[in-house]
Amino acid sequence: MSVSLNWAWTRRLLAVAGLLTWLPRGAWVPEVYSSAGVVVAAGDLPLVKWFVLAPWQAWAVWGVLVGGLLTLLFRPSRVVSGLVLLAGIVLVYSEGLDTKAYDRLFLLQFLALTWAGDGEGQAGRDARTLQILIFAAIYGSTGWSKLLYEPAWATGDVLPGHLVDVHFGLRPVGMLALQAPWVLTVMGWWTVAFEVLFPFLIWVPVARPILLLLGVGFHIGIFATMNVRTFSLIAIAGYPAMASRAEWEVALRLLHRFRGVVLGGVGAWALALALPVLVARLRGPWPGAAWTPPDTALQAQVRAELDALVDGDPAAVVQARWGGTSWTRGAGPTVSLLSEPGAGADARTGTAVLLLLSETLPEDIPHRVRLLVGGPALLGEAPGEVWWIGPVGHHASHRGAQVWPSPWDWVLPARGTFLGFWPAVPAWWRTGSPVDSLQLPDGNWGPEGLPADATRVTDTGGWRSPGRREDNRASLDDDQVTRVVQAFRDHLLTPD
Amino acid sequence: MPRLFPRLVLVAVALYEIACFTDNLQMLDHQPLRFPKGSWPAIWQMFTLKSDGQENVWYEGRYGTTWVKLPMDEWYPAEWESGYRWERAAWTHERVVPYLQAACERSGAQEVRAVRLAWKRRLGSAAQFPRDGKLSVRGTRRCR
Repeated sequence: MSVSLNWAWTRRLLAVAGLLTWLPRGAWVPEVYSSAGVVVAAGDLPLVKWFVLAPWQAWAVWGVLVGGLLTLLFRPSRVVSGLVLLAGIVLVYSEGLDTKAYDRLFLLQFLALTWAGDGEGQAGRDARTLQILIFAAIYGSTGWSKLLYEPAWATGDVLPGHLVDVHFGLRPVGMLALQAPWVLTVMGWWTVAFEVLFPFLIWVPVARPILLLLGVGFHIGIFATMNVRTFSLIAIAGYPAMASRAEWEVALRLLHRFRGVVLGGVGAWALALALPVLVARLRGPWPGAAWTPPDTALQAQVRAELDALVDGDPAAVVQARWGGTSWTRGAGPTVSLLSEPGAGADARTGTAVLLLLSETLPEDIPHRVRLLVGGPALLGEAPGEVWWIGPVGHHASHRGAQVWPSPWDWVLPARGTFLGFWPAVPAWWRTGSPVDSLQLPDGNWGPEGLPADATRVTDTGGWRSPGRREDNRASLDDDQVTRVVQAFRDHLLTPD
Repeated sequence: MPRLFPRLVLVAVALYEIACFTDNLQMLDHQPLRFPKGSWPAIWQMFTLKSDGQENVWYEGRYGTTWVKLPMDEWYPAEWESGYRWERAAWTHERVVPYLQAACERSGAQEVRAVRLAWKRRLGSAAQFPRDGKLSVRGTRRCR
C-alpha cells in the first residue's frame, strides 16, 4: 500500500521544523558559516580544513536550504530534498562547533525523504524502512547507553540535574516537576523503557501505533521541560513516515474527530508553560532566568587568582604551582604553556597538566594546534603520564582494550594504520610514525628529545565525554618523562 | 534483482548504525573509537549521563595591568540553546585559539584569555549561583 500520504505529512512537518530551525540562524550566517566570522576547525569532519565559505557563498547555501524548505512545504521533490540535504551538510560541517543532535537527525531524515521522493511506490516503502532504522538507532543507542552505563536512571538522579542546567533547563514546567522527585523518577524509567524497547517493538504491527503515540508524548514532554529548541518537532515530524498508511489514516481521523480536544490540549499546555512565567514576572525577575555574575568579593578573588596565573617565572611556576600557569615566547609564533587544574586528572591530588600550544594562524583558515601534556612526574613524584595530542584529524595507534565487537572490524584496516582518508592533509601528518612527524612551524624537534615509544594520538575534538581526553594518555616512566621535559625546556624556554 | 540494491543499502545502513552504536559504547567505556570520522554522524549522546556541573565562560583583555571583561556577546552574538559559540569553543584548548585571536583583533588588548568558572548544580532550585566555583584559564594569547 502506498505511503505517499505519510511522507507528505512528514515532508511538511520537516519543512516547518527546518524553517523554524534555520530561519533564525540567518542572523548569524556570516559570523558562523563564513570567513567573515571566526573559523574553527571543529568536529570530526571539519570542512573548513579544505575550504572556507566566503560570506556570499554562505548566504547562497543558506538561501538554497531555506528556499528548498519553502518549496517542500507545498510539493514533494527529490531534487529539492537532495539540495536541502547537501546545503545542510555544508553548513553543519562547516560550523562544526555547535552541531546539535537535531541537526544530524534533520539531515538523516532528509536522506530518507530524498529517497522517498513523492512517497509513491517501492521507493516510498524502502524510505520508510530507512526512516525506521534511523529512529531505531537513535532511540536504541541512547536508551541502551543509559541502561548499560548510567545506573542513576534507575534511582531517578539524572533528570533533576538536567532540569536545572543553566542552558538546557530552568523551564517552568521542569521546575514544577522538580518539586515532586517521584515524578522525575518515573519519567526516567519511562524514558529508558521507551528507548530500549523502541528498536524492537517498532517492527511489530500491533505495537507500532501505540509506540508512536507514546513517542509523540515523549517528545512533547521533553519540549515542555527542557530547552531543546526544535528538537522535538524535528523528531515528531518523522513519525508519520514510520506509520503505515492505514495507521496514519486512523490517526488523521482521530485528530479530526477530536480536534477540539487536541486544540484545547495544546492551548492548555501553552498556558501551563506561560502562566508560571507570567506570575513570576508579576512578582519579580525569574531567579534562575539568567546567570548572575559573582558578587564583588568573589570577583576580586577571581581577579587576584587569575592575575597570579599569568605572572611569574615559568620554570618556577611549573615546578611550584599546580594550576593556571601560562607564559608566551617573545618573537615568532605564540607558544603558550598552560596548566589546567583538573583537566583529565584529579585536581584534588594536585596533578598538574602542562599543555603546550603551538599555533600559527594563516589569514583565513585556523591552523591546527599541537599539544603536549606533562604529568605529575615533572615534579618528581610518581611515574607520570605524558601524552600529547596531534593535529585534529590524524589517526594514530589506538590504545585501550577493545570492549565491544563491532562491524567496523570488518571494513577497517588493522589498528594503527592511518586511513589516508583526507587528501588535503599534509603528508607528514599522515605518517604512522609518531616521533619524527612532530614539527613546530619554526623548528624541528626531531626525535632526539622524545622517547621512541611515545605515542602520538589524536584529540578529535568534541566534549562528549571526559573520557575522550583520557583515551590519549600514554604512560611513560620517570626517565622518559624527564627527557621529554628537558627537551621542551631546551627548545622553548627562551627569555622574553 | 531490482529489489536487491535497495535491500543491500538498507542492510548496510543497519550495519552502519550497529557499528556506530558500538563506538558509542566504546566512548562511554573511555576507550578509543574505531572510526571517529565515520561514527560521528550517528553517535547519540543526548543527556545520557548524569551531569552535576555548570559552567560559565568569559573572555578578558589586558590593557596595561588591568584585565577587563570583553563584550564577546556583542561582537559574536551567535547563540544556541547551549550558549554562545565562543563558550563552546572554550571546551577544548585548540578550539579556543581562533576566538582568542579574534578577541585580540577586536579588543586591541595586549593579551587576552578565556576563563571558565565551573560549579556544582543545585538540585531542585532555579537559583544556580556559582558559590563553590572553580576557575580555570582555557587559553591565553599575547596579542602584541
